[in-house]
Amino acid sequence: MLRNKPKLILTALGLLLSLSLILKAFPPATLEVPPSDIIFSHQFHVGDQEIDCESCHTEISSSDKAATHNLPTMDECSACHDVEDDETCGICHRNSEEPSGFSEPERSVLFNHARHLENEITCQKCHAAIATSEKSSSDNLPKMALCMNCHDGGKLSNDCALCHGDQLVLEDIHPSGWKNEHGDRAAVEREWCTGCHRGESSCLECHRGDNLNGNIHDLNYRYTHGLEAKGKSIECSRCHENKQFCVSCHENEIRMPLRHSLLSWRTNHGLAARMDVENCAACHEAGETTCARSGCHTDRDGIRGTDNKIHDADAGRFSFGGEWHDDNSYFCYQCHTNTNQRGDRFCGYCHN
Amino acid sequence: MSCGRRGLWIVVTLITILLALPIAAIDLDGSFSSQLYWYEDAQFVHIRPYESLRLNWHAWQDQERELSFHTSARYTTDLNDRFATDPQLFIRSAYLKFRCRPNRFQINLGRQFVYSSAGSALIDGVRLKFNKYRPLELNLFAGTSVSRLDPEKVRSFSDYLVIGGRAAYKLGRSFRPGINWMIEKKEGSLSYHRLSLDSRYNYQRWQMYGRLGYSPLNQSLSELLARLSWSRTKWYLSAEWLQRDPSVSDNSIFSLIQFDQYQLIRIQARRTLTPGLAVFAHQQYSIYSDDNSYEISAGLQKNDLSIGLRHQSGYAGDYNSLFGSARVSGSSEWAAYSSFNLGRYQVQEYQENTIDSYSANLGLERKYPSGLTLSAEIQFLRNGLKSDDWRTFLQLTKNFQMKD
Repeated sequence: MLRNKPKLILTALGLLLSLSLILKAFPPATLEVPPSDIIFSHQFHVGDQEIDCESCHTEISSSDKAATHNLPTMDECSACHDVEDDETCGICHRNSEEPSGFSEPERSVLFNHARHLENEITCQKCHAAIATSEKSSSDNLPKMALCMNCHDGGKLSNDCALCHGDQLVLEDIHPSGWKNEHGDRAAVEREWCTGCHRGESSCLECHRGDNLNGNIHDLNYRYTHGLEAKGKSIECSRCHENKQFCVSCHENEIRMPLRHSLLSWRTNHGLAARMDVENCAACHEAGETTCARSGCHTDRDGIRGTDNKIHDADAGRFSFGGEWHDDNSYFCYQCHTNTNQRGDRFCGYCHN
Repeated sequence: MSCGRRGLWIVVTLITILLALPIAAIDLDGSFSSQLYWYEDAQFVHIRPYESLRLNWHAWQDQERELSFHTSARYTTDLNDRFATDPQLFIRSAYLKFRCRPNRFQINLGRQFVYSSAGSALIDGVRLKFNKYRPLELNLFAGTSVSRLDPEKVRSFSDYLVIGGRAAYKLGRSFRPGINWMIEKKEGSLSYHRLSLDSRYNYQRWQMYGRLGYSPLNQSLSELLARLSWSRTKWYLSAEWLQRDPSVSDNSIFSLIQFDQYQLIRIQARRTLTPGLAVFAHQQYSIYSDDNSYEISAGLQKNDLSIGLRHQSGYAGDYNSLFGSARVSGSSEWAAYSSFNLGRYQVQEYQENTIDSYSANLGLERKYPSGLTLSAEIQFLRNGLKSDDWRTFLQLTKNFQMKD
């Protein structure tokens, strides 16, 4: 148990902070264009000189693969620059002693420039800031979120395979435990989700509150859900308001756990509740048979600690202090919550 | 004015505000979906239609500001034998969104789903997002919670208040520590109060996430979560440890008794053998104060075909099942899909016999270039409580986009 342990909280916070600082010392993973020998300003060529993209990227309108070498060669540069002049290599090459070409990043994405240009998607639509870019970098490449503006699953497909081919399937991004994890990711990094899923309406593909076609739960889940609920495979309350949702079947159709009918249940249900109180609360919190309302644990005389239906009449006459007062594992605390606060629950019995 | 009418008035007011604004051009997108679910229970034949609408109306925008309206709603009833909740109109969202890019400010007003790492809720209220002073990002929300059973009502602040938010600090591209907070009242008293501190970090092929939840009412840690995953071209491995308090409202009678925390350990792996072909496995141990439960599933996936086995034993019952799914596309317009689950389970040790459960569905889907999708599905269920149960599910969805 982790209750009433502020030192532990402070230790955990300290560890988390330390971990954060350690991790911050390591650079995060990024996808950068490999270092290039080429010095090139799109701002000068496109922005200032208004040179058409296709003047340099001559094959772009017939390129049907992202992997095609679409970057210009010295032949294209030679249309304006004297590439034979050894004295001016430094204009374009950082290392004028041993000049080399572009280092292209490996492209695993499928992309058809020709088809997009045919559909009047202009270069600037995807490479928006190219006219103000002073150097070649991955910043000039469109991010996936931009693709998804059009490929939103409506008229244009948002199928992973369309761009990623067989290199990526949905389960690579959302593996088998994703049901449990996706909420955490969405809370911390919402834009990661919206990169593919446009707006909150896509959440409703799953979170629409029904089980009509087995997308979320197996069609027989109505009969087997107890296995996952007790096993905590999923946290039901994340989606369902347990208090009303469970009762709508369990109470109305009188679906009672089998062990409730065992004779031993009367004596051992307290321990069962302590071990898995969610299981009890799922039905009893909203029903008419909670601990007190059932009549078993009702304080009928209204005087705290004196109802012998619950325990002996003198149970409330413990002397102050003593072993029970300071030992949180004492049997009193199997039922009573020690809040350690004046006026609150069990402590409030005496400390008003 | 009744609460139900008040909800309707809020929706009408939101739309009126929108209509009063200078709308530059029509820019709408969304979908309309009609579904029909036909099945028979012990007493009646149920014929249940569902009409769903999703709408995003980008009413007005310039270079710096943007105003839009978003809604999703569903109407359902039964044509033959109605449930107590029928007919029901559930407006899941209906909110105005105003976004100001230079100030990196966004405000959502109306019914919406809000969440942070400290909790989530469907509220009638307001959400603010503000990240002008990067790397600090602020998300705040306040409103009243929506009843799932009576969603037409807007409930009172005094009885069903929800307040919360998240303050995050974004360091680099992938390091995001944040503080989260949420308070929820039910029936006039505090039912949920959580603080949490969480952080996510991506380092090369590693992804890490940790969360620490604290209950101010109990003055105790309510949750500890650590997750680590590693992936490369053909491998995905993940391990998670979670220790948490049971989900019981702070104002519940169950909060008066002493209860124990749970621990969960989850491990999962996925290995791509050849492009499109992968094997996967998922394992979980649930550790209670006085018992344990164990679950493992493993399977094979080839593109849109998958098959797997699941085994569970321990406190949470015994369960063995074979499951699978398939989707075959004849063209971009036609597809057939199917899934099945053959299981044998025993919910608890007191149960004398195991119960067999079988379920399967088979459907056909036709997509039209106009954005119309038509699907028809037959479902079959059999288990210890129900003998052969055949169901029919029809769906017609129209995606639309209107732009001047």
